[in-house]
Amino acid sequence: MTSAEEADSAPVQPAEPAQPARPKISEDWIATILGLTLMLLAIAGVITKAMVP
Amino acid sequence: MTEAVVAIAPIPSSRPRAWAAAGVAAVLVLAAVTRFLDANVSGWLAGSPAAGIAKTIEYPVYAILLGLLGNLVLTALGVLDRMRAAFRTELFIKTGLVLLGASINLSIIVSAAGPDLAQSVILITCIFLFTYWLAGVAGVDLKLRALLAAAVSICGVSAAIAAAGAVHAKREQLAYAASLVILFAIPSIFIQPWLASVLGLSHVVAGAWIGGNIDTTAAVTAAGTLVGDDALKVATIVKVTQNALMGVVAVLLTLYYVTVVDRESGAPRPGLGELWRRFPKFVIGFIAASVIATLWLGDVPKATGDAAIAAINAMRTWALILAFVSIGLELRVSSLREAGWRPIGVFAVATVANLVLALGLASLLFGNFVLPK
Repeated sequence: MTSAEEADSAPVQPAEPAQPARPKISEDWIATILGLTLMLLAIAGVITKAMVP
Repeated sequence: MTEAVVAIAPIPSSRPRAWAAAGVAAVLVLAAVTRFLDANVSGWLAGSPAAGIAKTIEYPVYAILLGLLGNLVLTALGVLDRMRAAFRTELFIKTGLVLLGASINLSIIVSAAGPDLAQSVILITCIFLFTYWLAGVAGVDLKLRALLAAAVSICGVSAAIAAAGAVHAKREQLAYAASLVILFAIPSIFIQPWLASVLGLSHVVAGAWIGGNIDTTAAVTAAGTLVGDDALKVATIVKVTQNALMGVVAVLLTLYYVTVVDRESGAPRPGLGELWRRFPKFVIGFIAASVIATLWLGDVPKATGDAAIAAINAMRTWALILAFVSIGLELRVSSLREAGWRPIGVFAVATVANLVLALGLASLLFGNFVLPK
Protein backbone atom coordinates (compact mmCIF):
# COMPACT_ATOMS: atom_id res chain seq x y z
CA MET A 1 0.00 0.00 0.00
CA THR A 2 1.37 3.41 -0.92
CA SER A 3 1.45 6.23 1.57
CA ALA A 4 -1.29 7.94 -0.43
CA GLU A 5 -3.54 4.90 -0.15
CA GLU A 6 -2.84 4.68 3.55
CA ALA A 7 -3.82 8.30 3.94
CA ASP A 8 -7.04 7.69 2.02
CA SER A 9 -8.20 4.94 4.31
CA ALA A 10 -7.10 6.71 7.46
CA PRO A 11 -9.71 7.13 10.19
CA VAL A 12 -11.21 10.53 10.95
CA GLN A 13 -8.94 10.42 13.97
CA PRO A 14 -5.96 8.03 13.79
CA ALA A 15 -6.99 4.96 15.80
CA GLU A 16 -4.00 2.68 15.51
CA PRO A 17 -2.76 1.72 18.97
CA ALA A 18 0.82 2.21 17.86
CA GLN A 19 0.12 5.80 16.76
CA PRO A 20 1.19 8.48 19.22
CA ALA A 21 -1.77 10.29 20.75
CA ARG A 22 -0.43 13.84 20.53
CA PRO A 23 -1.53 14.82 17.01
CA LYS A 24 -5.13 13.76 17.66
CA ILE A 25 -5.38 15.55 20.99
CA SER A 26 -3.80 18.73 19.72
CA GLU A 27 -6.13 18.85 16.72
CA ASP A 28 -9.16 18.55 19.03
CA TRP A 29 -7.88 21.35 21.20
CA ILE A 30 -6.94 23.50 18.20
CA ALA A 31 -10.50 23.13 16.88
CA THR A 32 -11.91 23.96 20.32
CA ILE A 33 -9.75 27.06 20.76
CA LEU A 34 -10.32 28.19 17.17
CA GLY A 35 -14.09 27.67 17.35
CA LEU A 36 -14.46 29.43 20.70
CA THR A 37 -12.21 32.30 19.57
CA LEU A 38 -14.27 32.85 16.42
CA MET A 39 -17.44 32.72 18.51
CA LEU A 40 -16.13 35.26 21.02
CA LEU A 41 -15.00 37.57 18.19
CA ALA A 42 -18.51 37.39 16.74
CA ILE A 43 -20.02 38.13 20.17
CA ALA A 44 -17.63 41.07 20.56
CA GLY A 45 -18.90 42.40 17.24
CA VAL A 46 -15.56 42.10 15.47
CA ILE A 47 -16.67 39.47 12.95
CA THR A 48 -20.39 40.22 12.85
CA LYS A 49 -19.93 43.32 10.69
CA ALA A 50 -17.78 41.44 8.21
CA MET A 51 -20.01 38.34 7.94
CA VAL A 52 -23.46 39.95 7.97
CA PRO A 53 -23.69 43.12 5.86
CA MET B 1 8.32 5.31 -16.99
CA THR B 2 10.88 4.98 -14.25
CA GLU B 3 12.57 8.14 -15.48
CA ALA B 4 9.32 10.04 -15.25
CA VAL B 5 8.80 8.92 -11.66
CA VAL B 6 12.36 9.88 -10.78
CA ALA B 7 11.90 13.24 -12.45
CA ILE B 8 8.69 14.00 -10.52
CA ALA B 9 9.41 12.45 -7.15
CA PRO B 10 11.91 14.98 -5.76
CA ILE B 11 9.55 17.93 -6.31
CA PRO B 12 7.19 17.41 -3.34
CA SER B 13 9.99 16.79 -0.88
CA SER B 14 11.86 19.89 -2.03
CA ARG B 15 8.85 22.25 -2.04
CA PRO B 16 6.30 20.84 0.40
CA ARG B 17 5.13 24.27 1.55
CA ALA B 18 4.45 25.42 -2.00
CA TRP B 19 2.36 22.30 -2.65
CA ALA B 20 0.52 22.72 0.64
CA ALA B 21 -0.22 26.35 -0.29
CA ALA B 22 -1.52 25.17 -3.67
CA GLY B 23 -3.71 22.65 -1.80
CA VAL B 24 -5.09 25.39 0.46
CA ALA B 25 -5.87 27.48 -2.62
CA ALA B 26 -7.67 24.53 -4.25
CA VAL B 27 -9.77 23.91 -1.11
CA LEU B 28 -10.65 27.61 -0.77
CA VAL B 29 -11.64 27.98 -4.44
CA LEU B 30 -13.86 24.89 -4.31
CA ALA B 31 -15.39 26.11 -1.02
CA ALA B 32 -16.15 29.51 -2.57
CA VAL B 33 -17.84 27.83 -5.56
CA THR B 34 -19.84 25.65 -3.13
CA ARG B 35 -21.03 28.72 -1.22
CA PHE B 36 -21.96 30.40 -4.49
CA LEU B 37 -23.99 27.40 -5.69
CA ASP B 38 -25.62 27.00 -2.26
CA ALA B 39 -26.75 30.62 -2.36
CA ASN B 40 -27.88 30.76 -5.97
CA VAL B 41 -29.04 27.41 -7.38
CA SER B 42 -32.53 27.59 -5.84
CA GLY B 43 -32.92 31.12 -7.26
CA TRP B 44 -31.87 30.00 -10.72
CA LEU B 45 -34.42 27.18 -10.64
CA ALA B 46 -37.26 29.29 -9.18
CA GLY B 47 -40.53 28.48 -10.92
CA SER B 48 -39.26 25.21 -12.37
CA PRO B 49 -40.38 21.76 -11.17
CA ALA B 50 -36.95 21.24 -9.57
CA ALA B 51 -37.23 24.39 -7.42
CA GLY B 52 -38.58 22.55 -4.36
CA ILE B 53 -35.79 19.99 -4.40
CA ALA B 54 -33.10 22.61 -5.10
CA LYS B 55 -34.14 24.53 -1.97
CA THR B 56 -33.57 21.48 0.20
CA ILE B 57 -30.20 20.45 -1.21
CA GLU B 58 -27.68 21.71 1.30
CA TYR B 59 -24.05 22.65 0.90
CA PRO B 60 -22.61 19.19 1.79
CA VAL B 61 -23.93 17.88 -1.55
CA TYR B 62 -22.27 20.62 -3.60
CA ALA B 63 -19.10 20.46 -1.50
CA ILE B 64 -18.64 16.69 -1.83
CA LEU B 65 -19.41 16.76 -5.59
CA LEU B 66 -17.02 19.66 -6.23
CA GLY B 67 -14.40 17.99 -4.04
CA LEU B 68 -14.78 14.81 -6.10
CA LEU B 69 -14.41 16.82 -9.30
CA GLY B 70 -11.25 18.42 -7.91
CA ASN B 71 -10.09 14.95 -6.89
CA LEU B 72 -10.44 13.71 -10.49
CA VAL B 73 -8.73 16.74 -12.02
CA LEU B 74 -5.82 16.87 -9.55
CA THR B 75 -5.33 13.09 -9.81
CA ALA B 76 -5.23 13.36 -13.60
CA LEU B 77 -2.63 16.13 -13.28
CA GLY B 78 -0.64 13.93 -10.87
CA VAL B 79 -0.54 16.56 -8.10
CA LEU B 80 -3.23 15.41 -5.64
CA ASP B 81 -0.90 13.51 -3.30
CA ARG B 82 1.47 16.49 -3.01
CA MET B 83 -1.38 18.73 -1.84
CA ARG B 84 -2.74 16.40 0.84
CA ALA B 85 -1.26 18.38 3.71
CA ALA B 86 -3.88 21.06 3.00
CA PHE B 87 -6.88 18.73 3.28
CA ARG B 88 -7.54 19.16 7.02
CA THR B 89 -10.93 17.47 7.13
CA GLU B 90 -10.95 16.75 10.86
CA LEU B 91 -9.86 20.21 11.91
CA PHE B 92 -12.55 21.86 9.78
CA ILE B 93 -15.24 19.47 11.01
CA LYS B 94 -14.42 19.88 14.68
CA THR B 95 -14.21 23.68 14.42
CA GLY B 96 -17.61 23.65 12.71
CA LEU B 97 -19.11 21.56 15.50
CA VAL B 98 -17.74 23.85 18.22
CA LEU B 99 -19.41 26.76 16.38
CA LEU B 100 -22.61 24.70 16.15
CA GLY B 101 -22.71 24.73 19.96
CA ALA B 102 -23.29 28.51 19.89
CA SER B 103 -26.60 28.03 18.05
CA ILE B 104 -27.95 25.85 20.86
CA ASN B 105 -29.70 28.21 23.24
CA LEU B 106 -30.27 26.15 26.38
CA SER B 107 -32.97 28.54 27.64
CA ILE B 108 -35.15 27.68 24.62
CA ILE B 109 -34.82 23.99 25.47
CA VAL B 110 -35.81 24.71 29.09
CA SER B 111 -38.98 26.49 27.88
CA ALA B 112 -40.31 23.15 26.66
CA ALA B 113 -38.27 20.97 28.98
CA GLY B 114 -40.85 18.37 30.00
CA PRO B 115 -42.24 16.91 26.78
CA ASP B 116 -39.29 18.07 24.70
CA LEU B 117 -36.57 16.36 26.70
CA ALA B 118 -38.70 13.25 27.26
CA GLN B 119 -39.38 12.86 23.53
CA SER B 120 -35.77 13.49 22.57
CA VAL B 121 -34.27 11.10 25.12
CA ILE B 122 -36.75 8.26 24.41
CA LEU B 123 -36.55 8.72 20.64
CA ILE B 124 -32.76 8.95 20.46
CA THR B 125 -32.27 5.97 22.80
CA CYS B 126 -34.76 3.68 21.04
CA ILE B 127 -33.85 4.58 17.45
CA PHE B 128 -30.11 4.58 18.10
CA LEU B 129 -30.19 1.11 19.68
CA PHE B 130 -32.58 -0.24 17.02
CA THR B 131 -30.48 1.07 14.12
CA TYR B 132 -27.25 -0.13 15.70
CA TRP B 133 -28.76 -3.60 16.20
CA LEU B 134 -30.30 -3.73 12.71
CA ALA B 135 -27.05 -2.66 11.08
CA GLY B 136 -25.29 -5.40 13.04
CA VAL B 137 -27.78 -7.99 11.77
CA ALA B 138 -27.20 -6.70 8.22
CA GLY B 139 -23.44 -7.09 8.64
CA VAL B 140 -22.59 -3.39 8.38
CA ASP B 141 -19.09 -2.35 9.54
CA LEU B 142 -18.95 -1.61 13.29
CA LYS B 143 -17.97 2.04 12.88
CA LEU B 144 -20.39 2.75 10.07
CA ARG B 145 -23.10 1.27 12.34
CA ALA B 146 -22.39 3.97 14.93
CA LEU B 147 -22.50 6.71 12.28
CA LEU B 148 -25.79 5.51 10.79
CA ALA B 149 -27.38 5.10 14.22
CA ALA B 150 -26.26 8.57 15.36
CA ALA B 151 -27.33 10.21 12.10
CA VAL B 152 -30.82 8.74 11.95
CA SER B 153 -31.59 9.05 15.67
CA ILE B 154 -30.12 12.46 16.55
CA CYS B 155 -29.54 15.18 14.00
CA GLY B 156 -28.17 13.89 10.73
CA VAL B 157 -24.83 15.07 9.39
CA SER B 158 -23.67 16.83 12.59
CA ALA B 159 -24.34 13.74 14.67
CA ALA B 160 -22.57 11.52 12.14
CA ILE B 161 -19.55 13.85 12.39
CA ALA B 162 -19.55 13.73 16.19
CA ALA B 163 -19.92 9.94 16.13
CA ALA B 164 -17.09 9.67 13.60
CA GLY B 165 -14.85 11.55 16.02
CA ALA B 166 -15.89 9.31 18.90
CA VAL B 167 -15.42 5.94 17.16
CA HIS B 168 -12.59 6.93 14.79
CA ALA B 169 -14.53 6.20 11.63
CA LYS B 170 -13.07 6.55 8.14
CA ARG B 171 -13.71 9.61 6.00
CA GLU B 172 -15.48 7.47 3.40
CA GLN B 173 -17.88 6.20 6.06
CA LEU B 174 -18.68 9.76 7.09
CA ALA B 175 -19.30 10.77 3.47
CA TYR B 176 -21.55 7.72 3.03
CA ALA B 177 -23.60 8.54 6.14
CA ALA B 178 -23.88 12.24 5.21
CA SER B 179 -25.08 11.37 1.71
CA LEU B 180 -27.79 9.08 3.11
CA VAL B 181 -28.99 11.75 5.54
CA ILE B 182 -29.46 14.28 2.75
CA LEU B 183 -31.00 11.74 0.37
CA PHE B 184 -33.65 10.73 2.91
CA ALA B 185 -34.33 14.25 4.20
CA ILE B 186 -35.54 15.55 0.83
CA PRO B 187 -38.74 13.42 0.50
CA SER B 188 -39.49 13.86 4.23
CA ILE B 189 -39.94 17.60 3.73
CA PHE B 190 -42.99 17.03 1.58
CA ILE B 191 -44.29 13.72 2.95
CA GLN B 192 -44.45 14.64 6.65
CA PRO B 193 -46.46 17.88 6.34
CA TRP B 194 -48.85 16.05 3.99
CA LEU B 195 -49.21 13.12 6.41
CA ALA B 196 -49.72 15.54 9.33
CA SER B 197 -52.61 17.06 7.40
CA VAL B 198 -54.09 13.65 6.48
CA LEU B 199 -53.86 12.50 10.12
CA GLY B 200 -55.42 15.75 11.36
CA LEU B 201 -52.54 16.54 13.74
CA SER B 202 -52.47 19.87 15.58
CA HIS B 203 -49.67 22.19 14.52
CA VAL B 204 -47.84 21.64 17.82
CA VAL B 205 -47.91 17.84 17.49
CA ALA B 206 -46.97 18.05 13.81
CA GLY B 207 -44.01 20.27 14.72
CA ALA B 208 -42.82 17.88 17.42
CA TRP B 209 -43.14 15.01 14.93
CA ILE B 210 -41.19 16.84 12.23
CA GLY B 211 -38.45 17.98 14.63
CA GLY B 212 -38.11 14.49 16.06
CA ASN B 213 -37.93 12.70 12.73
CA ILE B 214 -36.31 14.83 10.03
CA ASP B 215 -32.55 14.91 10.40
CA THR B 216 -31.19 18.06 8.82
CA THR B 217 -31.96 21.47 10.28
CA ALA B 218 -32.75 23.03 6.89
CA ALA B 219 -35.20 20.23 6.08
CA VAL B 220 -36.86 20.63 9.50
CA THR B 221 -37.29 24.34 8.83
CA ALA B 222 -38.72 23.70 5.37
CA ALA B 223 -41.21 21.05 6.57
CA GLY B 224 -42.20 23.07 9.65
CA THR B 225 -42.86 26.13 7.49
CA LEU B 226 -45.17 24.10 5.24
CA VAL B 227 -47.34 23.26 8.27
CA GLY B 228 -47.36 26.66 10.01
CA ASP B 229 -45.68 29.02 12.48
CA ASP B 230 -46.43 27.03 15.65
CA ALA B 231 -45.24 23.83 13.98
CA LEU B 232 -42.01 25.53 12.93
CA LYS B 233 -41.37 26.81 16.47
CA VAL B 234 -41.94 23.42 18.12
CA ALA B 235 -39.98 21.59 15.41
CA THR B 236 -37.04 23.95 15.94
CA ILE B 237 -37.10 23.47 19.73
CA VAL B 238 -37.16 19.67 19.38
CA LYS B 239 -34.35 19.74 16.81
CA VAL B 240 -32.19 22.01 18.98
CA THR B 241 -32.69 19.65 21.93
CA GLN B 242 -31.60 16.71 19.83
CA ASN B 243 -28.55 18.68 18.67
CA ALA B 244 -27.66 19.37 22.31
CA LEU B 245 -27.92 15.68 23.19
CA MET B 246 -25.35 14.93 20.50
CA GLY B 247 -22.61 15.75 23.03
CA VAL B 248 -23.99 13.18 25.47
CA VAL B 249 -24.14 10.50 22.77
CA ALA B 250 -20.55 11.28 21.70
CA VAL B 251 -19.36 10.71 25.28
CA LEU B 252 -21.29 7.44 25.60
CA LEU B 253 -20.05 6.21 22.23
CA THR B 254 -16.45 6.92 23.21
CA LEU B 255 -16.94 4.97 26.44
CA TYR B 256 -18.51 2.01 24.62
CA TYR B 257 -15.92 1.80 21.83
CA VAL B 258 -12.96 2.16 24.19
CA THR B 259 -14.19 -0.31 26.79
CA VAL B 260 -15.94 -2.88 24.57
CA VAL B 261 -15.53 -2.63 20.77
CA ASP B 262 -11.86 -1.64 20.43
CA ARG B 263 -10.69 -3.55 23.49
CA GLU B 264 -8.62 -6.58 22.62
CA SER B 265 -9.75 -9.83 24.22
CA GLY B 266 -7.93 -10.44 27.48
CA ALA B 267 -6.67 -6.88 27.64
CA PRO B 268 -7.12 -5.08 30.98
CA ARG B 269 -10.03 -2.70 31.36
CA PRO B 270 -8.96 0.72 30.01
CA GLY B 271 -8.37 3.31 32.70
CA LEU B 272 -9.48 6.92 32.96
CA GLY B 273 -6.32 8.00 31.13
CA GLU B 274 -7.21 5.93 28.07
CA LEU B 275 -10.80 7.19 28.15
CA TRP B 276 -9.54 10.76 28.28
CA ARG B 277 -7.07 10.11 25.46
CA ARG B 278 -9.85 8.81 23.22
CA PHE B 279 -12.46 11.35 24.27
CA PRO B 280 -13.30 13.78 21.44
CA LYS B 281 -12.20 16.98 23.19
CA PHE B 282 -14.01 19.26 20.77
CA VAL B 283 -17.24 18.16 22.52
CA ILE B 284 -16.02 20.28 25.45
CA GLY B 285 -15.80 23.24 23.06
CA PHE B 286 -19.29 22.44 21.73
CA ILE B 287 -20.76 22.46 25.27
CA ALA B 288 -18.77 25.56 26.30
CA ALA B 289 -19.97 27.43 23.19
CA SER B 290 -23.57 26.54 24.02
CA VAL B 291 -23.28 27.70 27.64
CA ILE B 292 -21.49 30.95 26.71
CA ALA B 293 -24.02 31.76 23.96
CA THR B 294 -26.99 31.03 26.25
CA LEU B 295 -25.66 33.27 29.03
CA TRP B 296 -24.74 36.05 26.60
CA LEU B 297 -28.03 35.97 24.68
CA GLY B 298 -29.93 36.39 27.94
CA ASP B 299 -28.08 39.64 28.54
CA VAL B 300 -28.21 41.52 25.22
CA PRO B 301 -30.95 42.99 22.97
CA LYS B 302 -32.46 40.45 20.56
CA ALA B 303 -31.15 42.22 17.44
CA THR B 304 -27.58 42.16 18.75
CA GLY B 305 -27.85 38.49 19.66
CA ASP B 306 -29.40 37.54 16.33
CA ALA B 307 -26.65 39.35 14.39
CA ALA B 308 -23.88 37.58 16.31
CA ILE B 309 -25.52 34.15 15.96
CA ALA B 310 -26.00 34.76 12.22
CA ALA B 311 -22.27 35.50 11.91
CA ILE B 312 -21.37 32.39 13.95
CA ASN B 313 -23.68 30.26 11.79
CA ALA B 314 -22.04 31.65 8.64
CA MET B 315 -18.59 30.73 9.98
CA ARG B 316 -19.85 27.25 10.90
CA THR B 317 -21.15 26.79 7.35
CA TRP B 318 -17.75 27.83 5.97
CA ALA B 319 -15.93 25.40 8.26
CA LEU B 320 -18.19 22.50 7.26
CA ILE B 321 -17.96 23.41 3.56
CA LEU B 322 -14.14 23.28 3.84
CA ALA B 323 -14.51 19.89 5.57
CA PHE B 324 -16.80 18.39 2.93
CA VAL B 325 -14.67 19.74 0.07
CA SER B 326 -11.68 18.05 1.73
CA ILE B 327 -13.66 14.82 2.08
CA GLY B 328 -14.47 14.95 -1.65
CA LEU B 329 -10.82 15.61 -2.50
CA GLU B 330 -9.70 12.60 -0.48
CA LEU B 331 -12.58 10.26 -1.27
CA ARG B 332 -11.99 6.93 -2.96
CA VAL B 333 -15.07 5.64 -4.72
CA SER B 334 -13.83 2.08 -4.25
CA SER B 335 -14.05 2.54 -0.48
CA LEU B 336 -17.67 3.66 -0.80
CA ARG B 337 -18.41 0.61 -2.94
CA GLU B 338 -16.99 -1.62 -0.21
CA ALA B 339 -19.82 -0.55 2.11
CA GLY B 340 -22.36 -1.92 -0.41
CA TRP B 341 -26.12 -1.37 -0.43
CA ARG B 342 -26.98 -2.78 3.00
CA PRO B 343 -26.49 0.49 4.90
CA ILE B 344 -29.08 2.10 2.62
CA GLY B 345 -31.65 -0.57 3.55
CA VAL B 346 -30.79 -0.18 7.23
CA PHE B 347 -31.13 3.59 7.02
CA ALA B 348 -34.50 3.28 5.23
CA VAL B 349 -35.96 0.89 7.83
CA ALA B 350 -34.59 3.00 10.69
CA THR B 351 -36.12 6.14 9.16
CA VAL B 352 -39.55 4.47 9.03
CA ALA B 353 -39.17 3.29 12.65
CA ASN B 354 -38.18 6.83 13.64
CA LEU B 355 -41.21 8.21 11.77
CA VAL B 356 -43.64 5.89 13.61
CA LEU B 357 -42.12 6.23 17.09
CA ALA B 358 -41.79 10.02 16.76
CA LEU B 359 -45.48 10.24 15.78
CA GLY B 360 -46.51 8.21 18.84
CA LEU B 361 -44.33 10.24 21.21
CA ALA B 362 -45.34 13.61 19.73
CA SER B 363 -49.05 12.74 20.04
CA LEU B 364 -48.61 11.49 23.60
CA LEU B 365 -46.27 14.18 24.96
CA PHE B 366 -47.30 17.27 22.97
CA GLY B 367 -51.06 16.62 22.77
CA ASN B 368 -51.79 19.14 25.55
CA PHE B 369 -48.67 21.28 25.17
CA VAL B 370 -49.16 25.05 25.00
CA LEU B 371 -46.41 26.93 23.22
CA PRO B 372 -44.89 29.67 25.44
CA LYS B 373 -45.58 33.12 23.97
